[in-house]
Amino acid sequence: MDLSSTRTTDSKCDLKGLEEEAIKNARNQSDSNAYAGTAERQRVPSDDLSENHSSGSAKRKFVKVNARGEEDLLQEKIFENDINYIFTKDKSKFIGEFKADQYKIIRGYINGSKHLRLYYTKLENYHTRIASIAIIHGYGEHSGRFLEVKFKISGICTINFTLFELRWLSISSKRGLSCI
Amino acid sequence: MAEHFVKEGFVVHLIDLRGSGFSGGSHGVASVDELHEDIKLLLQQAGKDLPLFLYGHSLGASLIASLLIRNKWLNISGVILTSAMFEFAQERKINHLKRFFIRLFGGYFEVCDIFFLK
Repeated sequence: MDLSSTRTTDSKCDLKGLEEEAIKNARNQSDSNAYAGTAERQRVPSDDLSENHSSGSAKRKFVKVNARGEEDLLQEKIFENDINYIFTKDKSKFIGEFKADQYKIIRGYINGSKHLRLYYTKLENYHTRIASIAIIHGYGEHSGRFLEVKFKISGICTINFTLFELRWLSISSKRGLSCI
Repeated sequence: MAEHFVKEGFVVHLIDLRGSGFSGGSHGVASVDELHEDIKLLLQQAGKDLPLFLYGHSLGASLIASLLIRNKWLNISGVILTSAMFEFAQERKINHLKRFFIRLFGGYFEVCDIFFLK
């Protein structure tokens, strides 16, 4: 895994520190890019085209809109310690190694076959290492969906994760799945 | 889910398969063998000193199942599969009239969603 072009945060930082950092950076980005004024700018035809070409992101084709029709610029915070909220708020935390109070998060690209790069995240505890779990997402999803699914579920009911062995997957059985 | 596992002491590896998320490639074109290569890349990242578990959801679950059927001797200590689309539900609670119409015109509306007929 390539971590040559990464930025590391301070070691004393926890999740709340990361969140405050992300909000600060997002404010700076919004001041520089001025996303909020795009709707008003598009109505005025006599706008300087040279500025739009230079910034690139000032004139956008598609604008994300709420169900009410308002411009949805602010990311909603759903959980108390929301990792996705931090990473979507701050674009500079796309690749790198970030340290929380109990664990560290590594995000980056792996070099796949045929010059294809795949996005990879790793969560690792500082003290205890029992086992490793590889999570693979479904069709039309991405790996960020599996960061905080547990929190949403645990508000409604408690779920015990059970590890089981399927009979037709084990080595001893002769029958296999014919449909796949 | 990943944060819950990490606090328990697991090392969690996540990947975006090709064509989804921040990964490269076009969406919905990849074949099963290409997706198996992506899973193998993910398994190479995990260390050999710890026991390895696989967790899959929907397409990922069926991919893991097909990968393990093809490679019997992978050194994996456990598998978790959720909603792996192995078969349809047995009791779908559809009327006889609806079932009749589905049998008549179902071939023409294969792409159409089943909720439209409800």
